Amino acid sequence: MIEIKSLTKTFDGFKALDNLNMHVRKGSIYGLVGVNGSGKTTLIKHLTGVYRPDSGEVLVDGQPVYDNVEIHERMSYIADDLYFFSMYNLKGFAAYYRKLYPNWDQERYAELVKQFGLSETQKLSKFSKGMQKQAAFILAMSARPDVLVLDEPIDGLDPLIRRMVIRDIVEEVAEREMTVLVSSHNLKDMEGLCDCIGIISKGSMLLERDLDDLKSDVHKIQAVFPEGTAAPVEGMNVLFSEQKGSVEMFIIRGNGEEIENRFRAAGPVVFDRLPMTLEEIFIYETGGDRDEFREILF
Amino acid sequence: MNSGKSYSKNALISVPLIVENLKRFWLGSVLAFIGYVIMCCVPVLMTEEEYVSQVMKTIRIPATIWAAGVAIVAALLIYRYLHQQSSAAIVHAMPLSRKQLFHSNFLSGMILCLAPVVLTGIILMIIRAVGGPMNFVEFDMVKGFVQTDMFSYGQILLFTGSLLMVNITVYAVAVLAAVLTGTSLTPAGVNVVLLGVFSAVILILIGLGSLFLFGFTPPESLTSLALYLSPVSGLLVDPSWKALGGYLIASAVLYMAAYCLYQRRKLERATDTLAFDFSKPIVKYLLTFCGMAGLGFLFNLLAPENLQMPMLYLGCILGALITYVAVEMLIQKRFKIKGFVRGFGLFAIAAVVLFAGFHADIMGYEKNVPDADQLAGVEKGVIDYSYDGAWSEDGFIRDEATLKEVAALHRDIAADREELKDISENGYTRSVSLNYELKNGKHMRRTYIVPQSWLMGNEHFRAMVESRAYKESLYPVLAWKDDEVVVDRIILSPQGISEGEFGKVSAVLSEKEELRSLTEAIRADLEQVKLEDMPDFGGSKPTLLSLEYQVKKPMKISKEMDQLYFERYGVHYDEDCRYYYIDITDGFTKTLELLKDRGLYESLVIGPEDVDRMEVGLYERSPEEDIDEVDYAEPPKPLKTMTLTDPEQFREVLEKAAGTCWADRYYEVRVYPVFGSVNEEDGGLYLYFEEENVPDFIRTGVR
Repeated sequence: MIEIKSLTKTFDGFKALDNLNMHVRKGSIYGLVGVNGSGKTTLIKHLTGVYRPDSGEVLVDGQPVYDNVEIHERMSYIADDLYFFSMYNLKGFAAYYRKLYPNWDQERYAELVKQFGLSETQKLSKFSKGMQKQAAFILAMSARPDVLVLDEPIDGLDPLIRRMVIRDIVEEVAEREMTVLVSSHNLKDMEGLCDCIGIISKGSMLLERDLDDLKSDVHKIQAVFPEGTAAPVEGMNVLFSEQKGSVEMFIIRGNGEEIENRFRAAGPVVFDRLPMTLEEIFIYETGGDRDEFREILF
Repeated sequence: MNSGKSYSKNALISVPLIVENLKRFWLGSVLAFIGYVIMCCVPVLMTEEEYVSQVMKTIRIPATIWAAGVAIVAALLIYRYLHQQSSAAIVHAMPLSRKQLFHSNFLSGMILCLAPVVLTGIILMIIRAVGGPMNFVEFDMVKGFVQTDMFSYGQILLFTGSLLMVNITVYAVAVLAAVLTGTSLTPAGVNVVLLGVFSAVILILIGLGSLFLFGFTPPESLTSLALYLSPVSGLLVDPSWKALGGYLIASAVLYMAAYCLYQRRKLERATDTLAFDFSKPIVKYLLTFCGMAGLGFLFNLLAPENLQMPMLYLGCILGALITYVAVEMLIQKRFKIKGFVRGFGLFAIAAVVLFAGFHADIMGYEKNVPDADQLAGVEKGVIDYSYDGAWSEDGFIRDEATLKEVAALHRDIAADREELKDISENGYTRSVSLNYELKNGKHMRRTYIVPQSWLMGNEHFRAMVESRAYKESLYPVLAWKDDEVVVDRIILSPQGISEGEFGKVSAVLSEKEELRSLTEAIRADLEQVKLEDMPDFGGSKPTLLSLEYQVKKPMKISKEMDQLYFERYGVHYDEDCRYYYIDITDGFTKTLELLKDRGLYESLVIGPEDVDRMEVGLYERSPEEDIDEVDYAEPPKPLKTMTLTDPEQFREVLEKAAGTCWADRYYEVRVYPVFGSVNEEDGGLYLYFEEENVPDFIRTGVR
C-alpha cells in the first residue's frame, strides 16, 4: 500500500532522512517509532505529500504522493502540531472537509461527535489540546480515508479517550482494510495497536518487523539443570543469556516447539517458557543496549 | 478501497477553497469598502460643484494608498499559511494540488480586494446619475474656454479602473512577496523591497551622478522608469488607460512568477526569513545599497559645504555596515551572523568600484559632447530652464547656425569643467540646460551650473543668445506667423502708473496697417537686442512704456511654464496666452522712432516737463530679508531722503533709472506729476538706482 524507496531529504546540509526504505501493507497498522529528531515527522510529511523528496520515491498504491490530489482525497492526516482556521468551529470545518473529501461520511461524523461529546459550535481555538486532537480525529475518520497517518496521536489524550481512539482505528482497519501509519517516540504506545513496527533513527530505518512474526519467533526460556548438565543451546540462535545462581535465562530465536523439546530432552529440574513484552522483544532483538533504543523502550 | 469520485483532480481552481477564503476574510473586505466610501464618496457628496475637479484629484492619493494597503493585507492574510510549519503542512496535505491552492487563493484575494472598489465605483456612478454633471470651466489651447464635466462617467470609470489596477498590481507583488518569504513578518519588508527598492536604486544612481558628474542630467526615460517601477507612484502620476494596460501586463508577469515560485517552494522553508536562497543576496545587497546611499546622502546634506564629500563617504560606510548587519541578522535569524567578512567584503568592493567609477568618470560622461552635425535640435529655454518639454509645440531650436554655437558652448563648458565645478568660488551662477535631440533619434541631456561672468565672456553663448532662433523662444512675437495668431489690437501704456495720472493716456492701435508696421518695428528691435541689454543678463534700461498685444487666437506658449521665466526677458503673458506684453526701453529704437512719427511717443512717455518733483529715499534691505516675505503693510523707512526739482535732474533720472531693483542698498525715486493728482499712498511713478548707476547729485544729496 505504502512504499518508500531510498528516500533522502537534506535541510541546510543536515541529512534528515538518509536512503530510507519502508513498506506498509494494506490493512495494517504500522507503528513508526523513533526518538525526537530521528526523522519521524519528516518522513510523515513526505508520506502526506507536504515535502518533496530530494531523492527516492514515496508511493501509495504505486502512485507518487507529492501533489497528487487523488491520493490526498483518500488520505487523512493528523499532525502532531495541529492547525485549524481561526474563528472556525468543528461544524464549519466539517462543512469544508465535506466539500474536499469525496468519501466524506456525514453519519460517521455525527456518530463520532456524539461519541467524543465535543461541541460543534464552540471555536476550535478555544478547545484544549486534547479536544483539538479529538476534533482532528473526528474530521480525519469522517473522511473515510484509505490511508490514515497519525503523528504522535496519543499525546495529550487521557486513557479513556485513548482507548476510544484505538478502538475506532482498529474497527476501521477491520471493517474497511484502512491502512494506518502511526508514529510515536515511545514503543509502549504501540503495544496492542500495531501489527508492524518500524524503528527510525538518525533518518534511517533501523528495522522493520511484523509483530506476530516477532512474537512467535523469539522466546524467553528459564531453566534449572542438574549440576554438571549444560543447557542444550548449542546451534541455537541465542540472543541473550544470563545466570543467577542455579537459574539460567535464555532469549532464543527459533521455533518454539523445537526449542522446548530440546530443553526438555536435557532433563531440566525446572523449565518455563515465559511471555515477552514488545519492549523485551526489541531489547533482545536489537541488542538492547543501543542508545537509540533506550529512549523508545523506557 | 473507497470509490468516491474525485472532486477536483484536474481543475485549475478549487471552488470550495475560494468560498472558504471568502467566508474567512469577508470582514476585511467590508472594512476596505468603508474606507473607500469615506475617502471617495463622502468628499464628492460634500463638495460644491466647482470644486469637484479638485476633489477628484485629491481623493486619488489616499484612495490609491488605501488600495495598495488593502492589497498587501489581503495577500498577507491569504498566504499566511505558508509561513507556519503547522498550517503549511495541513493545507498541503489536503486534497488540493499546489496549482489549485495558488490560483484559488490568488483569485480569492482578488475578489476580496476588487469587490469594494467596484462597489465604490457603482456608488460614484449613482451619485453622478442622481446629481448630474459637475462642470468645470477650463482653458484649452485649441478650443479656448471649454466646459468640462469633471465627474463624468468616463472620469469615474478611469478613477475606478486606476484603483482596481493598483489593487491588482500591488496584490500580485504582495503575493510574490508572500511566496518568497517564510515568516509572517517578512512579507511586509519584501513588499517594500519589491514596490520601492528598484525605484530607489535608480534614484540613488541619479543622485550619485548628480554628485560626481559635472552636468549630469538623468535621461527622462530613467526618471520615468523610477516612477513607473512602483505601481503606486506610477498610477498616481499617470492614471491613463495606457498605464492601466501596462500595469495589467506587469501584474500578469508577476502572477506567473509567483506561481512558478510557489510550485518550486519547499514547505520546510516555513519560518525561514526568505524561502528561496536565490533571493537572499538580492534582498540583502539591494537593501544594503539603499541603506548606504540613504545615510550617505543624509550626511552629505547636513554637512557644512567644505565637508560634504567626506561626510558622504562616512555616511555611506556607516549606512552600508548598519544595513548589511541588520538585514543579515534578519535573514539568518541570529545576532552573530555568519560569513560577514566575505559577504560585506564583496559589497564593499562593488561599492568602491562604483564610487571610483563615478569619481573617475570611467564612462566618459563629462567629456561626451555632441558634434554640431549630430544635432537635430536643442530644447528652447537653455538658461535657468527647468520645465522639461513644457512647450506647446515643437520645443526645439533647429537652426543649424545656432546649434553650432550651442555645441561650441557645450565644448567650452566641458573643457573648463574643472574650473567651473567649484561653485563656491564662482559667485552668481546660472544653469545651462542642454536637452539635445540627436539626428539618430536619441536624446542627450546635460545641465551645468556656470558662473554668469563666465557665460557673459563666452563668445558662443553670446552668439547663441543673440541668434534669431534663440530669441524666437524668448519673444513669441518673433516666432508667430501673422496668420496663425490674429492680432486684434495693440495697447501702448505708460509704464508703471495709472492711466491719466501724468496726463498720459494709453494708445490703442487696431488698424491693420498700424498693427503690421508696429509689429515689424518691434521685431526689428528685438532682433537687435544684445546680451547685455536683456534684463536677465544685467540690462538695466528703464522701461519707458508697456506694449500689450491682444490676440484672437491664443499663442502657442506653454501654460505649464512659469511666467517668471519670460519676465526675465521683459516679456509677459497672461495664463490664457491671449494677452502678451513687452516692456519697451530706449533700446527699442525703431519702435520708439515709429511712435514718434505717429505722434504717440509724447503722449505716452513721461518726460521732464511732466514732472512736478521727485522724492528720493535711500533704503537698505537687511541681508536676511526674503523678497517673498516683504511686509507691504509696513513699507520700509528710508535712511535718508531728498527732493529733486531741477528739470535737468528729472531728465537724467528718467533716462537712467530702472523700473525695479533687487540690490541690498538702493535709491527709490518717487516721481510726482505736474498734471493731475497723485494717490498719497502709492501713486506716481517709482524708479530705482543702485550704487553703481546712481547720479552723483543723488548720491551726494542724500548724505
